[in-house]
Amino acid sequence: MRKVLYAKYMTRCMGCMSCMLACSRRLRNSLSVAKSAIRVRTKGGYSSGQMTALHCLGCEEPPCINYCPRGALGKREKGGIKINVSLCDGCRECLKGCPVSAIFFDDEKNLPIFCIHCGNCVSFCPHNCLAIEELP
Amino acid sequence: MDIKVLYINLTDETFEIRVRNDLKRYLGGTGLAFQLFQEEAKIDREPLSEEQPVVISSGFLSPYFPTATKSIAIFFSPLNNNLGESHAGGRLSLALKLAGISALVIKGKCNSLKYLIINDGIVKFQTAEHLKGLKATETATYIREKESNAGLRSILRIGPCGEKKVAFSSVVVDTYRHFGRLGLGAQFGAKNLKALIVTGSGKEEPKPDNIKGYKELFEKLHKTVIGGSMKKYHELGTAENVTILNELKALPTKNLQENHFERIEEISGESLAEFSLTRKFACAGCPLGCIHIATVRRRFDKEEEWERVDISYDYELIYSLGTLIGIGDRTLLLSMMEKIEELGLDAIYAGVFLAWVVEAFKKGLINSEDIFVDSIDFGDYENLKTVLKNLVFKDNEFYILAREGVHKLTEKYGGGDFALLAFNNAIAGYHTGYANLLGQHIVGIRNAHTDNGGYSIDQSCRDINDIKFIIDKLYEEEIFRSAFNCTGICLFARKVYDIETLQQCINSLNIDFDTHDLMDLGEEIYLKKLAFKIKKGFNLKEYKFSKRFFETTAMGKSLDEALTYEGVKYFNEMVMEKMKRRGLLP
Repeated sequence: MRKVLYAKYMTRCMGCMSCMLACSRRLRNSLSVAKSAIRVRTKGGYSSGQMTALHCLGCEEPPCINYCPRGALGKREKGGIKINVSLCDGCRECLKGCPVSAIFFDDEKNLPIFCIHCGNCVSFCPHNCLAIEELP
Repeated sequence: MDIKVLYINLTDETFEIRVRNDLKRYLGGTGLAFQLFQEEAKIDREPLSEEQPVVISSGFLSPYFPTATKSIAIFFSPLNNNLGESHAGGRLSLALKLAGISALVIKGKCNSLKYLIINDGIVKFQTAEHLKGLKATETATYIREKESNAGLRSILRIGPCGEKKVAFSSVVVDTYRHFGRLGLGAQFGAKNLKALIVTGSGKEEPKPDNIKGYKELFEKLHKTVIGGSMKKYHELGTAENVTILNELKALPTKNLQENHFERIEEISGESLAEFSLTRKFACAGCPLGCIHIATVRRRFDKEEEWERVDISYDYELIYSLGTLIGIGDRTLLLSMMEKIEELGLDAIYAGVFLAWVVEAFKKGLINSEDIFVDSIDFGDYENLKTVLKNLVFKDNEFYILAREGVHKLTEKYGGGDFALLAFNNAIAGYHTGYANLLGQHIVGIRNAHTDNGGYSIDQSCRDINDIKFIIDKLYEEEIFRSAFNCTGICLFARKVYDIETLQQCINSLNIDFDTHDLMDLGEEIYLKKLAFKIKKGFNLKEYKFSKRFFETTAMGKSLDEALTYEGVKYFNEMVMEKMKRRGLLP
């Protein structure tokens, strides 16, 4: 059973980016939303009324793993990816392997940014749009 | 972190980043923007001449603390031929920081209509000829499709009114947010600048020495913001004040011939929430979310043909496009807001302009040949809308003057006694008393209600007629807000971020600043701006209020004209002494 981040109620999202700030701050000691593993944006501007969150879906068989030429990526037990940073050379091949374009990159550390489904973003969402849920 | 300023020359299509750590004590926001503006402004030239600078600065704390979302624009205002300052939220502050830029200084004029893409300090100049004449809303749609980095960018654009250099045109920021006041849209238009996109990789960011302390402070403030003290801004929003001000008889109605509106129930905050509110949005970095979105469902054909439009509303718009021009129908009010967004106008000024047009027409000062509609009245949605559109499409003497502002119309046609202007800026939606009047017209550096919250002072000091006490209170609040607006924190959060908290936030980003430094900075910036305004022609000794402010009672009392002018005199003497002490007198 996977237990992963789920952007469940994006129709309620206000676009405040509190989730992104929380991810950067808590996971990477960073003040920049560019370091976040979740990306909130509009689909066609605010007036479209549609918000979306790009984030790791915690695939049962993550295709990104096979894109890594150095074998740095593995499956997390409950969904998502774990990375062996000593093996990663920052080639960015894994980014191509994500079917929902939800792997981001930290230029400063020269490492990909993966969601670890920790739920820190969930706890900072003022409208409870996000959840950590068990998926079959 | 260095203060990096991106200087852009539109004429030569060149740019450079200069490190301006010599300006560190001004932090960011209004302090930094004014310093940069003062360095570049050509005080003897026309406000819209191409060498005049437009400065946009991100708040120092944006987006590093909850609600720190504001960017400040400082420019020459074509309305008052003097200092222009406007504040906007949206994603702009965050995008500037992602680009590693503290402020932009834009000078010159594009050789044809262009838009700029600023990405990590690199500027690309793109043609916008294909966007000429397009609504602000449509402009963003085409740019959004073409350019990259969705979600981590901010898109500023003008509508047809900005292109026409209408002096009260706005710059729309990321939909629903604006540099609304004092005509930044006309500056963009004069520079042939249709839009501006800011984005970046976020490579540069502050590195707090005490990251643990920073995180604790951030999270404590996050809880405070969402925990109740600011709740009203999220729930009904500022629209909550519609009913309150109406009951106080302090809500300018029908060009302030009245102080309350008979059809208020349909357009109150409560009513909008019950029947039209469908969503709330937030600026990037604000967990509160005060942007209220209403959905209008409109029939566009006889058969069952419907369209839906989402429109943001707040108190000021309900006042300016509702009570002030007599529109009491919810759908028509929201449709008027939509029109303003498309044309790219300052919603407050647009309402004040229309209200003046109606009264001038009814008094026979202008006629149907001037305005190209057969007749016009309060509440007459279709003709009011046509007058706004005519600002763009009609080139007779009336509309040519109208594009320069209501004060120009009064010079030609009369009607100055009922023009609701404060040093040529349009008044906000309050007629509460002396503090509001003096706060907007005299003390407020932007001649805006948010400069010092005079309307709030009036409500908390209802029985006080001591004009010196009122001026002192206004000055104290103005100085605090002057410092506050360097940080980029939204003024709605001013009670969460008291001066001690501001100091903690600034210190957490490795800047040594104490509360005394902050208040001193606030006063220095304010007095420098005031000295600039005076040098450019803001004459306190000769300032004249429109008669209308004394004709209509405010919260049940008539305002005494002589007492008001006593307040101006007292303020003038006080600030002259303060400026003298700082060596700022012209």
